[in-house]
Amino acid sequence: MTDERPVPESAAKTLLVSLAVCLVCSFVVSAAAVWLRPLQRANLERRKTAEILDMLRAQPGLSELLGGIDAAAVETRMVDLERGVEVADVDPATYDLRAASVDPAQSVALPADRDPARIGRRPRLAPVHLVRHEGRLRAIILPIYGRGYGGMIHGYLALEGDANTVSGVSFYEHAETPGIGAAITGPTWRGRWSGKRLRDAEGALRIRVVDAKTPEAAGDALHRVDAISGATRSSQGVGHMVRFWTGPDGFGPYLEGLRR
Amino acid sequence: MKSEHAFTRPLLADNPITVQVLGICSALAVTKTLATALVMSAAVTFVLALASLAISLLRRHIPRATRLILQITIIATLVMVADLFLQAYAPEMSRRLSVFVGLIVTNCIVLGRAESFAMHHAPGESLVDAIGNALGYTLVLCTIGAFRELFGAGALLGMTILRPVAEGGWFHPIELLLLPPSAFFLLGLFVWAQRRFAKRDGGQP
Repeated sequence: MTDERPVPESAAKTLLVSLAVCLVCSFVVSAAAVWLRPLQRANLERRKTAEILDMLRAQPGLSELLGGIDAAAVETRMVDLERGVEVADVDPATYDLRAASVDPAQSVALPADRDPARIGRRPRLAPVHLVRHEGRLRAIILPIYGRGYGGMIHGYLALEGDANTVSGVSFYEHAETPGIGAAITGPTWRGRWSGKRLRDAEGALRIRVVDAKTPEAAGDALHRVDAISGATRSSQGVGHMVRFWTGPDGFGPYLEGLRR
Repeated sequence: MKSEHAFTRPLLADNPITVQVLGICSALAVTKTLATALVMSAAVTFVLALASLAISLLRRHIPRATRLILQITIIATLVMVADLFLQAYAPEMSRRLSVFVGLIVTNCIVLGRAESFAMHHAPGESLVDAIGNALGYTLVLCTIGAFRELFGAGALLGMTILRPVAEGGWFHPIELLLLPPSAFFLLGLFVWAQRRFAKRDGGQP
């Protein structure tokens, strides 16, 4: 029962119908996007909290010590990145790191040679999450982000109480290639970070991601993380962001203060 | 063509995956577990049914010169809506399906039904044809997904059925089944079994 009928074809009608279909379609997509955005935001927030808790639970020693860590065991402080000190007059609960990192009033531009993570601007303030147990600092969790292969990677870096030993990395948002670069979120590669040291005994920032072509340096084993084969650029992206956020333009000064 | 025929033909005799060999990319990629196969099938059903309906309603107004572009625009709109809904209401599932929901746009089943059927048939018939094809797709995806999850991980929909040795049971999971190539083998066996044993009513090779 096909009802083939020649469609009258005038340029005006072609344009008009195409335009109308496109307008209706764009309206439908925009409406869905706007309507569902609050739910997607809420999901992202839940995922961020879940990542922090997961990362804490995965740390050897810490989870047994604290039993079931809940969100209440984690205190959040605001850090002035440049001076490396905590500031008390900004409420971390209402601070939006992502908005601040692009707001000219709340961020500083980074020259290309000091921007390995390729983020363009760096916020003046950033939150840190601290876990204390029996008065001792047990874990420091830093939000980190930077450009990977497919787009921005957002995640956390967890350090032990010495502010030098990496206890874990985790990522809650990225656009790396599924099955290849997305392996940065997998347990195998994340496991390679645990126990690595940011700095050597002289205090030089040594941690980095290496691939097969990188020559070995003396005393490197504690500071080098092997890239995922086939996903060198995603791995290097993570390496650069870890170096940036623990370096002089990131949380470097703050961590220096904690180490003393 | 009778509409009940239009509905049942794509289930087996003219199955879009095993007979027309369309849309196999997603059949390979999202069938590691039954749950992902089910959600993917639901998304494809949603897109296919609404795209066919919309294109059939507009079929006398869609200009020939831009018809493919307009069909893709309508399909892409529905895919984006489906993707946004998954991100909002099933974020975990949306992450597991990653890009494959977005890739429904390029799924030849959807464009194939739009171009070869919905453009020439009334909305009712087009809807029946679309749902028939979507169910044919669902049938293959869920069969492969159930097989891979059951024998690859000893579970169905996340519930343990065959207790694996690692958890103190007797079952040795066939881990090969969890890797993408195994979906290719299974699909190949599926196609072979159907061509060997099922009666074909068409004259296609």
